[in-house]
Amino acid sequence: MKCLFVSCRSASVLLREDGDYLMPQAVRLTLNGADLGEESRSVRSLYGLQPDTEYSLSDGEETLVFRTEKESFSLDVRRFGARGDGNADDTAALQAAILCCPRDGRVVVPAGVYRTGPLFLKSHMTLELKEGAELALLTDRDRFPVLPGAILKDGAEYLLGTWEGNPLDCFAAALTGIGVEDVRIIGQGTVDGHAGEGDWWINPKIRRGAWRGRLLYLRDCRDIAVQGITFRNSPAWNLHPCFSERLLFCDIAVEAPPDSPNTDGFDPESCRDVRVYGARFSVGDDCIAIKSGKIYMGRTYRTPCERIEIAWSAMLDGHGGVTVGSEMAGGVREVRVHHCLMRGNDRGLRIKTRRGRGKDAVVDGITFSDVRMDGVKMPLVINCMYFCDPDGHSAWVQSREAQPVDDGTPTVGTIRFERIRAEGCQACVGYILGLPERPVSRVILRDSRFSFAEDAKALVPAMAENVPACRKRGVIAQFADEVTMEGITLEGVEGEALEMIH
Amino acid sequence: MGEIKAAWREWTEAAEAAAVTAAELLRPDVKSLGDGGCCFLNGCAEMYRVTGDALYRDTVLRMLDLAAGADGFLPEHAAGLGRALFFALDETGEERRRKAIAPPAGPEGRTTGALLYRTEPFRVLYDMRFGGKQQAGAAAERFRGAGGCPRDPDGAGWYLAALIDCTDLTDEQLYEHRRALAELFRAAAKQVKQPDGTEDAGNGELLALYAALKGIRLYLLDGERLEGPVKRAAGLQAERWLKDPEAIRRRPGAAGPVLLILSELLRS
Repeated sequence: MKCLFVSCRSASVLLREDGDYLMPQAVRLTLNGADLGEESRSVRSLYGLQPDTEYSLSDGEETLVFRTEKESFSLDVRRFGARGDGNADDTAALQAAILCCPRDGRVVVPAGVYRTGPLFLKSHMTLELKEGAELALLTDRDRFPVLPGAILKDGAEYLLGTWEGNPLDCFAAALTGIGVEDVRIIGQGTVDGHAGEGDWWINPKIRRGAWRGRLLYLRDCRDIAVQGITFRNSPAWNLHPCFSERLLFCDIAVEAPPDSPNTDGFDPESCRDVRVYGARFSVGDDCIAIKSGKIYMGRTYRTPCERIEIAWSAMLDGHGGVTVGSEMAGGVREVRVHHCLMRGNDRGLRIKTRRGRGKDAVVDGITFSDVRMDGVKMPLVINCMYFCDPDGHSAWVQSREAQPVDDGTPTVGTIRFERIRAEGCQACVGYILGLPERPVSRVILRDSRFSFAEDAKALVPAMAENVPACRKRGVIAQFADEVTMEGITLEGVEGEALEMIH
Repeated sequence: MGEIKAAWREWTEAAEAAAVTAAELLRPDVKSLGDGGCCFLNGCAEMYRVTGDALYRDTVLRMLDLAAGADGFLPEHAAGLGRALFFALDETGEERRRKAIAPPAGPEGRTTGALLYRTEPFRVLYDMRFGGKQQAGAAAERFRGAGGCPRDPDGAGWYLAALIDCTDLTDEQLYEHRRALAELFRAAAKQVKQPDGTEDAGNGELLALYAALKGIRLYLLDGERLEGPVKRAAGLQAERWLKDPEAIRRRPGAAGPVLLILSELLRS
């Protein structure tokens, strides 16, 4: 067992590291001798702990001893006037409690439904949503403050709001952190955007007042931990940290209806040192999408998203299990996805880029290992001709003829797929579409097993022009320098294991 | 700026009267696609968007019909009326209005501020609406290629108005292109001395005031520093033209810039 996170009132523990979201078999746990019952998930969180106290967690074979952190003071939001009755607007009371929280203190939200507008976080504090507590976001967009995209002054700019990789005005998130550090958001409570009850999902690509907000938005933050919280029904992306570092998301759940627009689960953008452990996603778009901005942000700030670890998590439904791009102009590198479960996704790993993203748009060092895929239609898709943006369908973006390598040419380096077990695939195991002028450098598939669904459908594997639908195919690669397949078992494949298109 | 709103109650009839007068006097100018006529139609369109006063909409539609030939089409070089044509299409939904919108063409290289005003915003609008947004980067290049902001105050005003309108018309999700235009505008605006409102301003100078008001509204200029003086100057200029019933008759070409200024004052 291994301690993943400890706060003043909670902890998260990795029980076994050889499973995925679930362990091979459940274990019975005791905490300081008290029975906690059986646990089947790899990551288990503990709540209701006392600060600065030693605990002993045992699974019968192994014992883990840890100590909770100290806490200065604890502030109950009800003492600040919050009602939690599902009717009153508790925004002011909740915000007051946060602003009044002393250093290393904790704001406690007891069980109840707290209707609230966006709340702004403060450094050096813990926000705890107790079991049964719900921050129920108001649905009237007039109640939401706007975060300006860019504030300009004498050649300098201060960025706040963002939308799909550009510095644009957006509504504040349910929980917004701007330049804060050392914040913990913990507990078994829920942050619910209730987006379906407002107009957020109606004509979602039309800006009305500002672009849609998120449930958690962090900009220029560091040392942030989110544990246990369930996020659901976001107006747009659920969790969106950008230009932030040392972030931990542990044992969280992110939920949105399958037809909800752009409700990505977790989208770190130009962040570094991000860890996601024991998380569960079931959303309307990509479960996790790793980004680094569109052209302006990529060229101006050149800040990649890097050192990302995603483990013991479940991506259940959603378009992509883990996606890189398409806003990746600052580059994405050193991403490790391991010991995860993906179920029912369109694609397992999906890399999306296109001509014009820029010379800093380098995707490199992406590793999938020990991932179980169940009903994932296409486990691996790399698409360097993704038809996004207004000119995405243009001849220049879609040309299979080599174009001059210039400042707009993106790069895909080394991608590894190791010890993958995928059942119920449909279209193909992998589809790789590089650029003729800059092929995908290296794709390595090793020690993995793939099988197809009996009733597999023919599907178009990549969103690019002139990509035909396919069914039960192996790895199809065009414009790739090296594709290595070692120790690969393909069951039910129709055609060659590897088809290199020249 | 409550005083602007209060003044507007007095100015409403005067502005309508000025529009009626200008419409009559600018008929030949619209027909010959002159700067004053083109700008006037843009001013009317903006005033309609802000006030909902049908007089402005009907003026645009009527004058476009006047400018069209017997076949209903405008001359190929009618880029100056292009934005008004889109306005007419949006307002009427008529197929003949859509057909009247021909792909824009305009000068490349060094040119005048007034010519940029006539051609560039229409080019951008056409690309955004009908062109698949694939030429979004070209506008900034053409402004750069035009030789920068003219030194004469009149030309500079047309140039600034063209730039701010192009910026505003560019889809904000094409951020790098919109930002490039915005930076050109910010740099040019620094070089231009705004009229202070105490003297009669030329048409281009009036447009410089319009551009400054719009730049402040779009947060491209320092509103904290500029909003007060620019609005005061703009208000004085608007008042000067609207209080004197003969002013527009003497210089009908000022109607467009004045209406554009008014539309921005009313938006603030």
